[in-house]
Amino acid sequence: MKQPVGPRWIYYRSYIQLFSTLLANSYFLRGLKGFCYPGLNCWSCPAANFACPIGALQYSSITARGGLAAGKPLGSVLPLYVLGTLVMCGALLGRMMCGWLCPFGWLQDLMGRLRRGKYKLPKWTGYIRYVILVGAVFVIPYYTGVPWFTKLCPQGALQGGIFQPLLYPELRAGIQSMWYVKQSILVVTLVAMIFTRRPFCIVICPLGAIFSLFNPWSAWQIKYDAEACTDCEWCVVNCPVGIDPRREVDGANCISCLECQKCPYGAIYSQPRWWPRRSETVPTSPEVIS
Amino acid sequence: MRSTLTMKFRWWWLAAVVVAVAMIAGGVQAGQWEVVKRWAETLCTGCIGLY
Ligand code: SF4
Ligand code: SF4
Ligand code: SF4
Repeated sequence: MKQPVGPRWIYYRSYIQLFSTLLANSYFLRGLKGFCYPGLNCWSCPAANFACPIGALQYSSITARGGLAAGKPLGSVLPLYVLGTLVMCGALLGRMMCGWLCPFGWLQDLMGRLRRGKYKLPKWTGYIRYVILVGAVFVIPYYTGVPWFTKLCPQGALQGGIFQPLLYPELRAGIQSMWYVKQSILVVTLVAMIFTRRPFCIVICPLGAIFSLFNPWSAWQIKYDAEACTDCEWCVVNCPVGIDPRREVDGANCISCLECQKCPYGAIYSQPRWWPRRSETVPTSPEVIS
Repeated sequence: MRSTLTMKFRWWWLAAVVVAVAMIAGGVQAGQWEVVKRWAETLCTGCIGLY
């Protein structure tokens, strides 16, 4: 069996995930709390430096209703700054934020290492996150005035729900049934991470749903070269979201982690989208060679 | 998997980046950075699970 290959930098992914998690939660950059971090990182973590884009979108939905009722024009109540930040990240890097930067994505990768055998989720579950994005982030907060994704978010349960009550007794005293519901969701999510690959990213995450829309046409692209592939299935076994890179690399469920670029036969490669594809540079037919 | 349109035209991302820059600039000018900062600095009881 040939050894994994690929460029050196793709082997540093875990270190970059660790660095990103520390960067987002290092406490000392809190003057930047208006910056939306392009990953699921709870802004109620005592050490969080940045804003959560999903939290900000929900609060925008809530305030938009009041703004429209007060006669403000639609343009002034749209969350242009938050959406613009996400569009910028998505257009440049697709879902690389999920594979390389997101603290909750990293946690899923780490938990996934606890057990080798994994159950495969049915394909239709990959559409639920879009429903959650539209429903729990935009429509329901708009009509009810309650940020429902936030209320149930396991990353909030972990970073805010555990550390804040630990630090502040008055918050501890306020714990009621909702706190237990939220912690139960966290426990179920953590267990699911052991038995299936990146379940939260595939099924639930509204931020991942937004980035998914950009992956197939973002500036950084991942390509599959069928001519070089020997169907050894090394990439299928090692893909952290459990998809078949030969068919789905750079698609909506691919988190652009580039693990499959370690393909022992060099059949998967990534590059800026404006570079010529391999099939355009390697002469394949006799006419081209002569 | 990809549509022919995205395969043929390789510059959609650039158009999106231009739109994103305009959105960010417009949003920041309208004071949205400050609004998001205020939200982020206010302890969110929903995140913690207290209501
Ligand atoms: S899909 Fe996963 S990796 Fe991407 S933002 Fe959501 S939790 Fe993070
Ligand atoms: S792309 Fe083909 S050759 Fe490369 S790891 Fe996957 S199955 Fe094997
Ligand atoms: S297809 Fe490749 S880049 Fe995409 S998630 Fe799987 S291993 Fe990572």
